[in-house]
Amino acid sequence: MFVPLLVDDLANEFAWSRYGSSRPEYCSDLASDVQTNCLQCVEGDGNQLRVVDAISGSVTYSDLPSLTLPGGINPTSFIFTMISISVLFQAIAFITVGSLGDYGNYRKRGLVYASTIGAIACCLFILLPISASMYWVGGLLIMISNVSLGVSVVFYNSYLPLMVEDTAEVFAAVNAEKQGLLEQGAVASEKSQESAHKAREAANSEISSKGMMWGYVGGTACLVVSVIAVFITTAIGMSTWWSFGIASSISGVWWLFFSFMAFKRLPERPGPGTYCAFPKSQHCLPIVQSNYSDTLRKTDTFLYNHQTLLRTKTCSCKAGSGRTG
Amino acid sequence: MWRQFNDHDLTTHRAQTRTMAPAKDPALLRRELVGWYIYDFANSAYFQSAMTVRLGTSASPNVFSNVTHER
Repeated sequence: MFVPLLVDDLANEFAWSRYGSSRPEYCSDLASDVQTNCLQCVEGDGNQLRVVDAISGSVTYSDLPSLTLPGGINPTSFIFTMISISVLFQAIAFITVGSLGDYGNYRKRGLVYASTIGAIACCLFILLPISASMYWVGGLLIMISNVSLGVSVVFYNSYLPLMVEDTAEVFAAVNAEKQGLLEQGAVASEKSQESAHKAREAANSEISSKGMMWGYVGGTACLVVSVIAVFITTAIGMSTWWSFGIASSISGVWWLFFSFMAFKRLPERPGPGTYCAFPKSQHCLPIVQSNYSDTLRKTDTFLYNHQTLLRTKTCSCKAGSGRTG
Repeated sequence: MWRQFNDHDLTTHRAQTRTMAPAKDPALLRRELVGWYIYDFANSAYFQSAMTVRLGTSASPNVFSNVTHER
């Protein structure tokens, strides 16, 4: 949560500087006798400028000026805009590289590249507090790290079915299935097929659950370390921006360090297409092309079916019109 | 010009690997599983740091301490 807080604050500060004044402080940060010309959140109205008349002592609230960043973006929605754009890039990246995890020698390579790029981008958050004008670098780093994280998870998840197949329970169940087919025929093998399926499901659930558990442990442990870092840096007099910048980059260092420990243990696990006779530089091209066109075709079919279904439903409501979908 | 890979290739490859190779050494599988868990341990730090957007932007101390009902 440190990254959104930091980038949001930088964007707001920059927007105020474009407006030609410095951002007023929150009234809660000021002593009670000087709470004038400060920001106050008024229920139902949002942030308002609180002004106390020096003579009469009456309090008035006025709307804040309409602040914008270059491109007309509202500073409070800057971070959401960046995340939305990164989700769009994620969708393109997932469709493009999604199948590479299963083909050729890309499983580990993809994981290492995507993870390292994301972690380095996350470490660079420490540079943002240099100036409020660095808010756009923050947005760019959020996009890079989000897309890299998503792609790395695609490659990471491609290990799961292989590990499931290698567990002793699934291996035994699959062998029993094969034996059943050879010795007892198709009818008897149905039972062993079912037991192999159940063994796969059980192993899949167990491994996934343990992975999620370690994920929660890691996230919580890093959050604790980051919060301690924020307390220490604030106690020694660092600004909030620098505290948040350091806390944000701690998660990048954490990601980088532990992912390298993971890479030492994860094997290559090549899939089909490793030793094919493609020109070396264009190994992945046919897979990407095939996957991309397949996905678009499936999307097109889905949309066509969806529209047809909607049209049929609409027409069935107009039963007396005599028209059908 | 290019050979197109599909799901059938993948299934065949896995089946061939399965029939040719004996059961994987449990120690190797354990090492791989530990590596897989460590990666989840590693990247979850980013989730709590950058993806907790709603909590992050609304949990600012100023937001809670600065609300008033007066107008």
